[in-house]
Amino acid sequence: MQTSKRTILIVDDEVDLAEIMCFIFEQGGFNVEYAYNGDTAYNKFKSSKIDAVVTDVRMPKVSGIDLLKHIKKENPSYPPIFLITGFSDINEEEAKKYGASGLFKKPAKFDLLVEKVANEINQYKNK
Amino acid sequence: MERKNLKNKTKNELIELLLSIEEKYADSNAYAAELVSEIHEKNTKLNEAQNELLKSERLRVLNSMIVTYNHEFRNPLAIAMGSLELYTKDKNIKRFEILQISLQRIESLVEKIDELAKNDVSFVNYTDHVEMIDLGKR
Repeated sequence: MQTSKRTILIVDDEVDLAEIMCFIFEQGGFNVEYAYNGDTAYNKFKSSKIDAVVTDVRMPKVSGIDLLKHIKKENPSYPPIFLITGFSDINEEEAKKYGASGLFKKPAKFDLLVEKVANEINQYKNK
Repeated sequence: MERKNLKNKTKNELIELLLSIEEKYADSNAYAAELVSEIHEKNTKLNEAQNELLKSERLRVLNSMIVTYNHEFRNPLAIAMGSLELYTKDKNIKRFEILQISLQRIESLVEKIDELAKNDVSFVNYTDHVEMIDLGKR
């Protein structure tokens, strides 16, 4: 599984959880950028080369869904975006309609999340 | 003769009056029975409506409780589980501090929910169409 030099943007207003995910993805061989709200995440996305986004759904001001819509408006096919949610605002089918590559429930199985993200990035890169 | 006629006339009038009263009495009895039946029917419908309202209010509380549970518990739970997972990888004792804070958050939520049983619940909008129990004011 090739994950080196791939950069992932982690977005969660729960700072501790964001840090845990950062650590897990770093351990999985990713470069990691993080943001604690949707606004900052979007700015980071615009200014960095991001290969995938993992974002919480419910955040103040700019939600994960809003972030997803903003990013997908510019490029519907890239990068893959995964939603992670405490409560099912939407189901996986709805998330995919918005353009998400997957929806994970908290507490997520982090290894599975890393694996899915890596696979999705590789699929995009191989297209 | 005139007096006899007058007496008969009065007697007839009295009989008519009595018949009229009897008829009205019968009518009023029927009307009263009709009223009693109508009140009974309306009372039954009112009870049914009250039961429906109670059931719907209980469902509202239950649904909001599920949303509250999902929203409030999943984040600290994810942090607690994540901290443990990280500890198994890096053996960093600081993971336990975060784990402890998360468990304290969960404990505090449990206490707030315990309080719900003693007080009226209030609701806040979680999304446009979904309500959750307001734990913030407790």
